[in-house]
Amino acid sequence: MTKLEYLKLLETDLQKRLSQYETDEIIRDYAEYFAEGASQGKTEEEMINNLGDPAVVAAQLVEETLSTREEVPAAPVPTPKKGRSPWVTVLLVLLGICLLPVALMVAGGLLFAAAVVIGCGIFLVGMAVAGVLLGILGLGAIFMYIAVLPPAAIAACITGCIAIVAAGVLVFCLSLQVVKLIWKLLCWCWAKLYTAITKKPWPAPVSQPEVQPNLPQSFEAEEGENNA
Amino acid sequence: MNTQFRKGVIEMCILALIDKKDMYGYEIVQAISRHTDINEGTVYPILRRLTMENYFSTYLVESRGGPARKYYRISPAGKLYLQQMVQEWSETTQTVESILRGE
Repeated sequence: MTKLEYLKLLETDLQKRLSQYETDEIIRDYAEYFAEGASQGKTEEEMINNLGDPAVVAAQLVEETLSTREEVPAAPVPTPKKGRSPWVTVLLVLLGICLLPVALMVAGGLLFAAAVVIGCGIFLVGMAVAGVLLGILGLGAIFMYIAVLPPAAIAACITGCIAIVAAGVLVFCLSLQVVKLIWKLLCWCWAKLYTAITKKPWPAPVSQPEVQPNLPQSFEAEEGENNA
Repeated sequence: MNTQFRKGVIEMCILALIDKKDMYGYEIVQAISRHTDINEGTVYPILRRLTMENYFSTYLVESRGGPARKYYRISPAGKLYLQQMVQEWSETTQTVESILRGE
């Protein structure tokens, strides 16, 4: 048998059980062995004798390679059995790290919602006050000008005042609508977020639960009385 | 001698050799086979397993007129493993010797 025949036999056996990459790696090692031996003046026959039966060598290579492959995934399994608490701690910490962005997102969302609600509230109150002030101003103007100005001017003034009051009321109603719209948007966002996180649909809009609980409660109360 | 036992002893010898200095495959095989009559082909599988278990790292060094030499260097994990093996070995030999002496 020649060196090349030996390597070929080894390769054929290895390819049956190992990847091409692993086989190439191993064949490289044995080719290196032959080259080193040759440089030391050894004959191919001598080296093949020293190496031993290629089938035995291949079997051992496969066995050792596969044993480490099995050990690698198996290694982490026995450890949790010995000391479970540190692993649980690690798991909890990891879970905490994973949940942190979600918590931050929810907190951020709540803060944003609060800011929007407070902002809208201020806007609403401001608009209401402005409307009322404009109304008072308009009415005040009517009484002020009656004494001094000619009827035509008074009529114009009254019209102007009514217009101002109407504008105030309009702005007030408009701001109410804006707040409602923003509230709806917030509810929609929350429903989307809730569904995305829990995979469950967010139950009925916020305004409904206020009505619903009254009905079952009164029924229960009546039933309770009937039973008694 | 039992092959499994033999394999363990050879494994310890390989670790002890490479612990002293980085060595390449042929060098290791010669160092081992100088003292025993093992098939030289069986040293490589052990070298390979110890490398896969991260007890050794390897690096290639170009050699004149031949393929590059793959050198093996022991890792901290390898040093620890060797330490444990030597400890177990000395304990076992002490026990065996005391039994053989009939103590």
